[in-house]
Amino acid sequence: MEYWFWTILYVLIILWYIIVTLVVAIGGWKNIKEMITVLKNK
Amino acid sequence: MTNFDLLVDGIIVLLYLAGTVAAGLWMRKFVSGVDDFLVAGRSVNLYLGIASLAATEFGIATCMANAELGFKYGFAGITPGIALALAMFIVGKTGFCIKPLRDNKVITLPELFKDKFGEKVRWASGVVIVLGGLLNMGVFLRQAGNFLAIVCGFEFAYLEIIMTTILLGVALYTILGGMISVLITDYLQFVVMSIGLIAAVTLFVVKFGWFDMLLTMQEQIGPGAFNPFEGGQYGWDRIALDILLAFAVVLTWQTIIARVLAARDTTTAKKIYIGTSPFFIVRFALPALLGIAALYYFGSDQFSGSNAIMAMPNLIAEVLPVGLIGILVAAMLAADMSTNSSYLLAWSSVIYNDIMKPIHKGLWSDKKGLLWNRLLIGFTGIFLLLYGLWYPLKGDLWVYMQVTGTIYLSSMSVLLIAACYWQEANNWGAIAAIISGSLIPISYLVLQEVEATQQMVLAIGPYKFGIATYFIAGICMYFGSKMKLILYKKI
Repeated sequence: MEYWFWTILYVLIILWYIIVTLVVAIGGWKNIKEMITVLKNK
Repeated sequence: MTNFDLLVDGIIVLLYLAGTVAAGLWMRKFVSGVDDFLVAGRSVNLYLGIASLAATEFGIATCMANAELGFKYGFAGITPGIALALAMFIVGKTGFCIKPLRDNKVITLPELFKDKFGEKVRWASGVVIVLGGLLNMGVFLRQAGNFLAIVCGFEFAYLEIIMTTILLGVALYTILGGMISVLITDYLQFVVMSIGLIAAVTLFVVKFGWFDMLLTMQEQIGPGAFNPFEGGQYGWDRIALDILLAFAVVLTWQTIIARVLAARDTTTAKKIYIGTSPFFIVRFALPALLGIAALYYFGSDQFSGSNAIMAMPNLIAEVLPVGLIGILVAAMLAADMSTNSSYLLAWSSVIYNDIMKPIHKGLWSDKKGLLWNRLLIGFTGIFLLLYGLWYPLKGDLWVYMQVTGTIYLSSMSVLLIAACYWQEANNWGAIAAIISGSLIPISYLVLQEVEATQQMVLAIGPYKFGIATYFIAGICMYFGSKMKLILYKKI
């Protein structure tokens, strides 16, 4: 039973990590451009 | 023996290093004052905040320490990550302490304490934060050097040169661009690190077989590998310390708090915490899996005792193919550079903002302030280099990081909670908490080096020392504050 608990947990962790990496990579790039605009206009 | 190919893997690593340092240096032109340098003009948005926080809190030392936990304790070694993720989610959801902290628009924790406890407590808080932080970070460089020497096949004689080179690269863009450069490089590092980690873990699982690795773990470690409450290897005292430490880290660790303070507003700060919380499980779970893969490949005898930390780098060197090994080394360098740059900035910001406050009194010009901040980062780097060279690490790396972190985490978490939510808290209680919170872990570090006391300290163990520190700091805050109130009422 513990084997399956850890198997499912790891699948979830890796899937979450892949999705978050993609979302943060795209969103973070937008944030960088916004931050540079804010700093330029200071 | 290593599969690292100087031509293929070396070029991947060099390209990555050149790109990161160039990006970091390019951002320096946007720094116009101390506020931009230390908190990026408080302009950080959600995704960049998550990328930066995740990249900062994952370095080579963390990866090696967590792989060591996986190698020794199996899945039970992930317990600190689960505790950290839960603590971060709860604090992010409720805004406990971080809301008043961000609302006060301070740059560091001690600055917040000034209003409640006075200038002396601010100064003393700055000293323990820097002391605990630098001792904690002191072992990062050597671990990074060890990792790179094993994986890339360098002679250990070149360890000092590798350490110095890593530090110089990081210090260069941190000194020039401050938090703005740190954020941009953190972003790049987050992406590279994620790709490298996922690729390496997937390869090991496919190559060794998931259930075969679990079976090996069951045979070598026993039922305790799957459940930290079973088997007695991990233990209740260690779990209790993991939980206490997790909340203290999330509330007061300067590199984490720096992202709250740099966030656009309190709501963004809370969202950054909630969004980053699962990453703290990843931070332990993936390196632990590398450790478990090393256990499968080498068995437990080849890397026993304090040598266990070397199992994961040796596995990477021997098993990963050319090309992927370059990506993973770039990923690990990415992880390490983001950690080092943020940590250098965090501790030097506390030195300038709080310890040096009696000297500059907040009256120096932006130009002079920037110059001093940059000098402090340089001095901090030199200290780390010297400390990393001579300190002999004993026992688990993670335990060392817990003990040194406790020097400030115990008292600062007590002070923060009291400052935010206990009206009767005052400077007597704060000073008593700071003294007790720093003396107990420092005594542990010293006593374990002295031959006469070594056995006694080992018998008690670092976990009970750690737990006692948190409780004693809390008790000192309560009785110290009450004592002042009683004595002043009498007068």
